[in-house]
Amino acid sequence: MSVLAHGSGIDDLIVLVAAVGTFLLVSGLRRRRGADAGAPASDRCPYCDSPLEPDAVRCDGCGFLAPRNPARPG
Amino acid sequence: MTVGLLAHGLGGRVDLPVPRGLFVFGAVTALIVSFVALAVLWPEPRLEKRRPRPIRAAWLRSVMSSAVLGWVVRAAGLVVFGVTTLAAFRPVGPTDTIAPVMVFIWFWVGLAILQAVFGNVWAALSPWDTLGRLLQLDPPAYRPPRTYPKALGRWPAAVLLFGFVWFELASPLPEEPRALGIAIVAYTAITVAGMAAFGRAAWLENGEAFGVYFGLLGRISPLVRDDEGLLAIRPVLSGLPHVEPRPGLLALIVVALGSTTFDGLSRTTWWLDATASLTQGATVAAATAGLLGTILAVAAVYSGAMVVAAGVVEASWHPLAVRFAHSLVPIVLAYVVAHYFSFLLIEGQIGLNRISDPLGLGWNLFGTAGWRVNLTIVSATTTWYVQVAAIVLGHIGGVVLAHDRAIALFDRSRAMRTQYALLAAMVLFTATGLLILSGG
Repeated sequence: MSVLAHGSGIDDLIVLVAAVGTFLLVSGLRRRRGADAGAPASDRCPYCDSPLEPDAVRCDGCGFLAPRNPARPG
Repeated sequence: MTVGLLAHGLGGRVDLPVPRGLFVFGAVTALIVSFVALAVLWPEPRLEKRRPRPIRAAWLRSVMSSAVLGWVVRAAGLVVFGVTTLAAFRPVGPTDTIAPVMVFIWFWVGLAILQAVFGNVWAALSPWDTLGRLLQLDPPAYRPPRTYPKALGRWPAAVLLFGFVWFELASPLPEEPRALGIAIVAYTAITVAGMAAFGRAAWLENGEAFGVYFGLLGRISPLVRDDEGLLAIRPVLSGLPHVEPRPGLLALIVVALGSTTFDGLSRTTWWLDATASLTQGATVAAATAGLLGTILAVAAVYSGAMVVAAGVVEASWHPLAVRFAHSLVPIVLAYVVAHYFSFLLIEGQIGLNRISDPLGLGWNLFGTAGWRVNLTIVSATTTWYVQVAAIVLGHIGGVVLAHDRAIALFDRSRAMRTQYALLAAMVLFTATGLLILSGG
């Protein structure tokens, strides 16, 4: 079966997807635990780094939902 | 020639100079080499903090700050818009008026490329912006009844952009007389209503699909107007890291990327064979499903890469996906150039002919009505090399932006590991793009 015209066929894509999938899997498996040096602190918006109010539902800076903060009430 | 041909840009590719596998291999190699070179030679963020440098030539300063010139350009944009809208209502053949060429080739393709080279010229030309200014839909002269909800972000623009690409690529409407005119009027009504509800600036910034889309492409350009409205220069791509993260931004970029990919896919003989025997209704349904499916596939590949990257830094994937979204913009441009380069140069010539008779009334205003399309203006081989170069450079641009953002956010070792997955996604995009382009 030829997935695309004028060419070898679907095997090109299968090999490519398999290679990329393996690559993704390997890089995922290599994740390491530990604090993230560059990650924004929980009192800052992870999208835009604006300071978040303790009870904010959304970030005033960018409008994204504020992440749930265990330190916050509710 | 039909509107269908005008609305789809990809020409067939039958005679590659060398086997296409070699091109894919070379392109992917170039990407991986770039990635390694960045890891070694680019240890600090360079684009994140770059600010434009004003061009100090006095004559340029006076030209750029001329209010009269600004309004002359705006008036020209409004006249072209008015003529195009009138032409789109004429019940004549698709190439008898300037409207389809103006909308699907010069505007959608030509302006996208122009933006990336010369910066955000659309901001000066936009007829909807000009209408908003003429109607004085800005504070303090006008108090909008509502404040634009931040939670809505760029979602209206993303939805409207999807509406446009569906109209162009999946619906049968471009074939219908007057449908383009109705679409232009409907979009104008939505835009004016949005400006009336939230104010001109707020709607143009968030809801005007073409303004948001072209604005993103304009950030690729080395030219920009600085805070004082003067022309300034900056490194290519360095405007993109300053794109503000907003809800819907990623959706808009993925719609742009996925729709161009689908346009290419829908021109492959695989797709044409599969849909050849369908009724019109089924063809529209298949094209709609294909368009949505391609957009979702692009979103899934990018999101998958971001899930892996987020695992590396123990963070949530969505904020990361939004913070790296700007790295997809050079790929959007690359796909526009790769898919529509020959389309712009060949079918775009129809516009030079129609400019003398924009309404199809038999006029010859500028003496070009007799011009014929020169089909040999660009060879198939040249087109292919331009396509390969665009795809490779676009993805390298994406890798550069993502690398710069990663080392701005994370320590170097972790930054590199977040980029493996994104590199894999870029490799997949590159190879798929080339396979589709070579399979028309």
